[in-house]
Amino acid sequence: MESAAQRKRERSPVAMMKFWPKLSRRKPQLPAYSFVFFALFYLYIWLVVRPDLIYHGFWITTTFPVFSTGWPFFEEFLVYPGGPVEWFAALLCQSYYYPWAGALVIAAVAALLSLTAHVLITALCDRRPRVLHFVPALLLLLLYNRYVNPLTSALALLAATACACLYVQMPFRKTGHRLALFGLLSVTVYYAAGGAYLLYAALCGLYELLRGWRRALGALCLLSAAVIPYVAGEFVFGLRLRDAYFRLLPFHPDSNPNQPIIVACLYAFFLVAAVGVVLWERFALGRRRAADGSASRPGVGHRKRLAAVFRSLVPFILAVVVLCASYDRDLKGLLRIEYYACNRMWPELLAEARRLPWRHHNLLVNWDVNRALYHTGGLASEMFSFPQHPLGLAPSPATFPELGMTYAGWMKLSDVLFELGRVNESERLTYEVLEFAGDRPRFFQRLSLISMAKGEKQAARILLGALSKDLVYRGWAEEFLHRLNDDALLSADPEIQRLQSVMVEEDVVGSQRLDWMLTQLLTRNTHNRMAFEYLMAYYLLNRDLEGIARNIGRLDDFDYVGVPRHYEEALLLYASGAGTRAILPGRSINPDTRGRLSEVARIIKLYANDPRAAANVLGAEHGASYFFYFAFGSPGDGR
Amino acid sequence: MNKRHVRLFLLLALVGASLCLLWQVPSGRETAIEDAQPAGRPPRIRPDYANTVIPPNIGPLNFCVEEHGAAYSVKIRSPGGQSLRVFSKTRRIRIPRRRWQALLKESRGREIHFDVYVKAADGQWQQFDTITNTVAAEEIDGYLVYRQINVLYHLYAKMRLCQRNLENYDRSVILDNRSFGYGCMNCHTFFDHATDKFVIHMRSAEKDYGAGMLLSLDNAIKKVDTRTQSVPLLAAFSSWHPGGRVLAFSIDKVRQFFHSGRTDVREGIDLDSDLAFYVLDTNAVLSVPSASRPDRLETWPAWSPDGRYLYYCSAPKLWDDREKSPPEHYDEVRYDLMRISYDVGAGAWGEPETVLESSKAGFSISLPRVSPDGRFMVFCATRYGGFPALQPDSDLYLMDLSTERYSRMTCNTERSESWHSWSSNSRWLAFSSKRDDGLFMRVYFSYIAESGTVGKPFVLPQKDPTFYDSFTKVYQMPELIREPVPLQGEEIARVIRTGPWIRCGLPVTAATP
Repeated sequence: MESAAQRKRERSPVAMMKFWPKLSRRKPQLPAYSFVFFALFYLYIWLVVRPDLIYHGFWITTTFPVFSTGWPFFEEFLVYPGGPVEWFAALLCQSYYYPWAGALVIAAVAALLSLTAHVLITALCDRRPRVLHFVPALLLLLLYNRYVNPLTSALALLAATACACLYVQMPFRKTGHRLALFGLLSVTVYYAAGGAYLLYAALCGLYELLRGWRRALGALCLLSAAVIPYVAGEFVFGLRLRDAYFRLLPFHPDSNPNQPIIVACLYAFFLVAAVGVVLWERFALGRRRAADGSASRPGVGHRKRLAAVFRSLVPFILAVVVLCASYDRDLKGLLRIEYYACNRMWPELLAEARRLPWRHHNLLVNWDVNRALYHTGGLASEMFSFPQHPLGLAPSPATFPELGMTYAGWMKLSDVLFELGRVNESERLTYEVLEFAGDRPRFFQRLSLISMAKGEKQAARILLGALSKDLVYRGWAEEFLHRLNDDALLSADPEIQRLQSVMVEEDVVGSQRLDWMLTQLLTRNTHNRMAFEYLMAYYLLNRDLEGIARNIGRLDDFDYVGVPRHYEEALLLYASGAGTRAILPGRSINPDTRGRLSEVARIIKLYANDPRAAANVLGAEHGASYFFYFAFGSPGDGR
Repeated sequence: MNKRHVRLFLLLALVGASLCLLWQVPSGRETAIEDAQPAGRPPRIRPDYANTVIPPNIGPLNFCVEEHGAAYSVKIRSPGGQSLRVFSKTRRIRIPRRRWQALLKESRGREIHFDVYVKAADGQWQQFDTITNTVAAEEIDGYLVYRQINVLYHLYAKMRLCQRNLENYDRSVILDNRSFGYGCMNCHTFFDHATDKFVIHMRSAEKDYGAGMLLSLDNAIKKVDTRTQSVPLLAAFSSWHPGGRVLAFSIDKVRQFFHSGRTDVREGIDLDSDLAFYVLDTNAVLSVPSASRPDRLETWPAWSPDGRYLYYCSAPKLWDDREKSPPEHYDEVRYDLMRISYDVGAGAWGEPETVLESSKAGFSISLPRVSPDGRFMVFCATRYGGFPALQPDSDLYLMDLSTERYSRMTCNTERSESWHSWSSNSRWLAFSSKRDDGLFMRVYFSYIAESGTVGKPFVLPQKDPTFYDSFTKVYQMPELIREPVPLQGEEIARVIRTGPWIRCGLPVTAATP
C-alpha cells in the first residue's frame, strides 16, 4: 500500500514532469490525409456550395458584413474589442464574390481551426488526434452547406485558439514568464477577438490545471476570463457588460443570428475536447500501466494497419454524413434565383424557378420570376406557368409597411420600380434598405444610377465615391466617375438614357395604386414596354378583364407580332362575359386559343359541382393558361 | 534573430527611409518654385476655402488643388511675415496643425494668403493667383455637436450624436443608438452653449426603454417623461430660457410623405403642433395656452436672450383630419413669425404678437434662432411648410431685431439651407446645407459681422480633404458649444436602459422660480 507521502510525491509537479516532459516534446503533426481532406473541402465549397451565392443572397440566409476600404471605415473597428477581427472578416468576406477565392478563405480558416485543435489536443493529452481535430472543419462545412456565413465567429475562434496554441507551445517553465505571456496574449486576444477571449482564457487555464500542474496560474487564467472583460469594458472602452463579455460569441445580438447553436458547438468543442482528452488520456494511461509487461499479440501489426486505414477514412465518412444531412436543395435554389436576379441572368433564373417546388415560390421569387419573364419576352405568354401571388408584380408603396417584408423584399421592389422608371419610389426604398442593411455596394450602385438619371451629378459623384471604396465594385464606380468627368450628361450611356426616357416627371405626392403608377408611366412614355406589360399583368392578376380590353390597343405602340397568349385568353373571356366579339384592329385571335377556351369551359361545366376535380383535370394541360387562373384563382401546377 | 539578420534589417530600413525621403523631397524644388511662371488665374481648390472669413481657432483648412500636375506646393503667409509651406505629390494639401494655429494666432483680424504652386510634368512650376482669406478677430465656439444619420426616409436604424473639436479633427460619439436598441434621438439642446445643462430627446425602438427627454444637469442624466394629460405628445424642438430653469418645446405630430417627380423625394409635415414648457425645479410641464390653439400649428420655439419673449412659428391648420398624410392643402401652409411675452417672476404669458406675417413676407417662416447678443435673428424661409431641411428652396434670412428688417443672407444657394446655430459670441453661424449636391447635408460656417454683413461660408474642414467625396451620411442639427460634452456613450446609454422615468406633473404654482 502506498503511503500518503509517496502518493503526494507522485502527484507533485516535479514528479509529474518526470513523466510528462518526454511526452510533451511530441510535436503536433497533421496526418497526411488531412491535406486530401482539405483539398476536397475546398473543392466542395468552391464548386458545390459556391460562396458567391452567399455574397449575392446574403439577406436570405445570413448576415454578410459590410466592407469599405479606407481609414474612416477601419477606424470604426478600432474602438471596441473584437473590432479588428470583425474588420478582417469583413475584408475576407469580399472574396466570396469570386467563388474560388471565397472557398480558399473558408477552407483555410477550417484548416487552421483544425490545426489549432490538433495542437491543443496534442499538447493536452500527448496523443496526436486522428479524427477529433476535424470536428471544427466539419462544423464549418455543415454551416456553409446551409449557407450560413460564420466567418467572423470562426476568425474570432481562430484568434483565441491560435493564441492558446502559442501559449501551450511556449517552452517557458517559470510561472512568472508564463503569466507574462498569458497577459500579453490576453490583451491581444481580447482586443482582436472580443468575447472569444473567454475561450482563450479557459483553454490556458485548463492547460495549466490539467497538464502544466500550475494550479494557481490555472486558476488565475480562469479568473481573468471574468475580470479582464469587465475591466476593459468598464474602464477602457466604455461598453455595456453584454458587449464586453460576449461580443462575437454566437448568441450576441450583433453576431450572426442564424444557426447560433452550431456556432456555439464550434466554440464548445474546444473546451469539451480539452477536458475530454485529458480524462481519456488518464483513463487510457491507467489501462496502459495495467497492461505493462504483457506480451503483444500476434497479428497486431496487420490489424493496426487496417485500423489506421479506417481511421483515415473516418473524417471523409463523417464529412459525407454531414453534407447529406445538411444539404438543402431548395434553399440553394432560392439562392441561385437571387444570384441570377442580381446578375440579370434571366433564362437561368427561369430554369431554376421551374425546378423549385411551388411551395417555395414566395413573394420575392414571384417578383424575380415576373421580371425575368418580362426580360425574356414571356410575361404576356408564360406568366401562369409559375405560381402567382396577388401582389406578385410590385405592390403599391402604400402597402409596403403592411407587407412586413424583410429588407430583401424592399430592395427587390426597388429593382422592379427602378426598371419601370419609378425612380423616386426606387430611391426611397433603396435608402430604407440601406438604413437597415448597411452601406452595401448594390445600394450605392442603384442610388448613383438614379442620381445620374435625375441629373444630380454631384450626388452621383459622392455615391460613386462611396462605391469606389468597395473592393468588388471599385472598377465600375471609377469608370462612371471618369465618364461623369468626360460627359456630364452621360449622353452615351444607354441605361441612363433609357431611365431618363421613362422616368416619371409629373410630381404627385402620397401613395398610389400600382395600376395608377403604371398608367402614369405610360402617359410619360407610351413606349415603356415594361410598364405596359406590368399593367396588363396587373389586370390579369386582378382578373380585371375590362382593364385588359381598355389597354389592348396599346399593343400598337410596340412591336408585338400577333397578340400574346394571355392577352388573347383574357380578351376571349372578356368577350364571352360581355357577350361581344373580341375586337383587335389589325390583329386576330388564334383559333387554337378559342378551341382551348371551349375545352376549358366544357370541363368546368362537366365538374360544375366539384371545382377541385375540374382543376385536377385541367391542371395538366391548361394549368398554365389564363383560363385556368381566371377560373381557380391560381395557376395549375401541371408539372 | 542573429546579427546578420539584424544588419540586413537595418540596411533595408535605411534604404526604405531614403527612398521615402527622395519621394517626398524632390531635389532642387525650392529653386524651381522661385522661378515659377504665373498662371494668371486663381487655382481651383476643393473645398472652396477662398475669399472667406475664418475663425482664428479653426483647425487647418486642408484642401485639394484641382489642377493637373506632378507636384503641388502651397505657401500660407500672414501679414506679419510668418509663413508655412506644404509640399505634396498628390493634390491633397494637408496643413500642419501647430504651425497653422500659430499663423492664425498672429493673423487675427487680418488677411492670410495662400500661394498655390503646381509643378507640370516637364518640371516647370506654375504659380496661381493668391487666394486670400480673412481671419476674424472673434473665435468660434470650440465644439460642434450634430446628429449623424443616413439620408432618412420612413425607417431609421443607425444614428449617432457626435461632437467635433473645431480646432483639430477630433471627433467622438456622444451617443450611438445601437447602445439602446436602435432607438431614435433628436433635438439636442444646450443651455448657454455649455454642457452642464442640456437635453436630448429620445424614443426607444424597443419599448422597454421608453421615450422622453434626457436631461443632463451637472453631469448627471435624468430621464424625464414630459407627457402629461394636457401635453400628451413627446417634446421635440426645444429652447432653453436664459435663466436656465425653463425649457420651452413644441409637441409635433410629424409625418413624412414622398414626391413621385420632384428631385428631393421627401417632405415632412406637421399635422398638429403646440407649444409647452418644462419647469426644472418643479418637474412640471405646462402648455402655453395662447400658443396652443387647436386651429393653428405652433412650433419652433426660440427664446430671446433677455428671456422676455418666446419667438415661435405659427400657421393656420388647413385640415381637420389629423391622421391623413399628406393632408389637404399641405402646400398652402405658411407659418408666421410670432412672439409671446413671458414674465419670469410671475410665470405669466402675454398675448401672441405677429413679428412677420408670411403673407407679407411671401414665404413660410421656420426655425427662428436669436443671436445671443439679442441683435439678430436668423430664420428659414420656404415657399410653404415648416420643415426647411426637406424643402429644396429653403433659405436663411437675417432679421435685425432692433428694426425688424430682414434680408436673404448672402450665404444661401439654390439648395436647402437650414438647421442654423449661433456661436456664443454671436459672430458665427453654423448651418446645414445641401449646396454641394442637393442630397447630403454638410455643415458650413459663416461669419456674421456686427453690422450684419455675412461672410462667405466655408465647409467644416476635414483632415482628409477628399473626405466629402465619398461620405454618404448627413450632418443634422449642428449646435455650437464652448466645451466638450463630458458624458459619453455608455454613461448615457446605461441611464437610458436602466434609469427610471421621472413623470412630469402639474406644478403647485404656475410661477417660474
